[in-house]
Amino acid sequence: MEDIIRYVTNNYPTILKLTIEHLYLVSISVGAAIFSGVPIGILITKDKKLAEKVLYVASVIITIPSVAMFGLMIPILSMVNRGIGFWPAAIAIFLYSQLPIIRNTYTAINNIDPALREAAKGMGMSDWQRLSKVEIPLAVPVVMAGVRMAVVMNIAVATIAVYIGAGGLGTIINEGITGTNSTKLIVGAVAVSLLAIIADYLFLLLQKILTPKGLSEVTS
Amino acid sequence: MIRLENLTKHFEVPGKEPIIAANNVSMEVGKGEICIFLGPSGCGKTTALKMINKLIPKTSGKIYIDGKDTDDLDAITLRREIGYVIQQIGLFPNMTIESNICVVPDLLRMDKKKSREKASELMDMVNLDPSIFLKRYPRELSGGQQQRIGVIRALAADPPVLLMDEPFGAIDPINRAVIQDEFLKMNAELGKTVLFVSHDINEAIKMGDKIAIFRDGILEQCDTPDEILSNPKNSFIKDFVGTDRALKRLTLIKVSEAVLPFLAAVKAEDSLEKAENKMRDRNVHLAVMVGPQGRARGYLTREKIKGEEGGMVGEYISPIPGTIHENDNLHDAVSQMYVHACDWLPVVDDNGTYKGFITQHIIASMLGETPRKRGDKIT
Repeated sequence: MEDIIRYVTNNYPTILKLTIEHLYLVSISVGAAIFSGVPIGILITKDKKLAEKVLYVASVIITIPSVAMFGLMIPILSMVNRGIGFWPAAIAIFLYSQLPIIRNTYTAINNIDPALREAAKGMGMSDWQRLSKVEIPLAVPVVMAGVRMAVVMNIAVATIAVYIGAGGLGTIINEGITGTNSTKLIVGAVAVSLLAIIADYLFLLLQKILTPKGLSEVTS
Repeated sequence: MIRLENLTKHFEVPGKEPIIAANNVSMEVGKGEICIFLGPSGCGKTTALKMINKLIPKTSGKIYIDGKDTDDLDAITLRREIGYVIQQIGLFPNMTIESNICVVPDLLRMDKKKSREKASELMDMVNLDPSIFLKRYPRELSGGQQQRIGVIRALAADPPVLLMDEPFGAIDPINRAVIQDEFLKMNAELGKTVLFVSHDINEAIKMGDKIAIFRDGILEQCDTPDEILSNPKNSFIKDFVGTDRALKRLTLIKVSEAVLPFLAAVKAEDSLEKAENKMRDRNVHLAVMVGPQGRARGYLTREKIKGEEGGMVGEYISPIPGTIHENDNLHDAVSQMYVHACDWLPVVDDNGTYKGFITQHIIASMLGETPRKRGDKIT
């Protein structure tokens, strides 16, 4: 225990730097995944067959073990001279994030009461107005749950990214394993776990803030 | 106001004959009229309604609103000029009641301040306090309150036409009667042309100026409720309106239309002779005694005072069986007669003042096979 405290107090600038690196990697990748996943999720509600295919592909991607995924990225990105470092890791995380985000968006839009859609249409809203005024606001809580899942999952996945030179908190864990240094191992593992728990909590808060007032519990 | 010409809808079914949901439907609804589309489920009444605001594309035929061919209007413009109310209400849960009501005015970019004022006015009309409800969300309201908002949301942009798809079908019977009355009162003021889908014959009789009965996509009969009840065109309609159609007609006639006005009112201090003369002159068998405020106090019959001489009305009086309000309908009146086991009832107004009486005999004569026009009086 003392070792751990000593390690942390002596190395906290490094730990902080690695944490920021870690977060940077996850937030850029998941952020990009929101911009692709949400429109895809909305789009596939128009076509059930397409939806099945898209969700199937996304499910296959998520089953690829992260080590294998990073390994796959190397030869592909080597062609544009980005074989190791930030890019392959970011792209892998971006791909992993697709399933929770697309699936939740698709489910949320699909589960909107058909009566609301009919009312919106019957009152003369265009497709875009119906999406922006009714369907998207109502889908936000479920979409945010998907984003939250992607963030938490990929904070863990990003730990592996150290093996392709993307840095992050995985660095400490890796050093702990290779140097049989249990202090480093524990510090790294705890740091990643804490990061995941805090991110989960913050996103839960964000989800609540973004939920339209009329949908949250009645307060009277 | 609304004219349908040979309106037809075929739903294509792969590998089978197409389903004909509307077959050459032609009809016309005048300005300010409420027309009920009535029929069993699957008869095409909802399809016919939804073709009018292009929620269902028509196969062939024409729809004119106010003389304009709706083919010339794009669907979105058309829908914003037609109020639309559905059974499932469909208030947007993410918007306050106020925003819900103002959806169409906002889509049309009407003045925000004016549309908000209008929202308050409309809420007053359905007896919901704007200061309490405007800032609430739909889920904080009961079903009946939500549907009132659903109705006024359709009226917010002041469209001349209102389409209502079983609007009160999901509301409990007590609330339904109240909301129906409110709607009738409101529309008497607003004068919208209303097309209203229902599967409830009693609702149709109560709400409709006209009833259009559909079967298998065919418009079987389109007439006033009274005409449909007294002259059903074929056996299907006869069955559909029910064997008690004569009794249903009773709900169409107000007590005030059937009352024998002020006939044979006598006072306690009148002589029996005077009372008897009065009854003989008017050819009625009973006389009602009124008090100083004009209230019915009791009655006497010709039989009872036969052979009596020299007395006063007050000595021979029997208590009245009950009273019926002049604004009630004959259905209520007959029901009251059965409750009190009598064949006549004195009619009173809001103040309890005696206005005349009705008898079962008069009611029976009003239900002859000839349909009456609204406002006709028995003379």
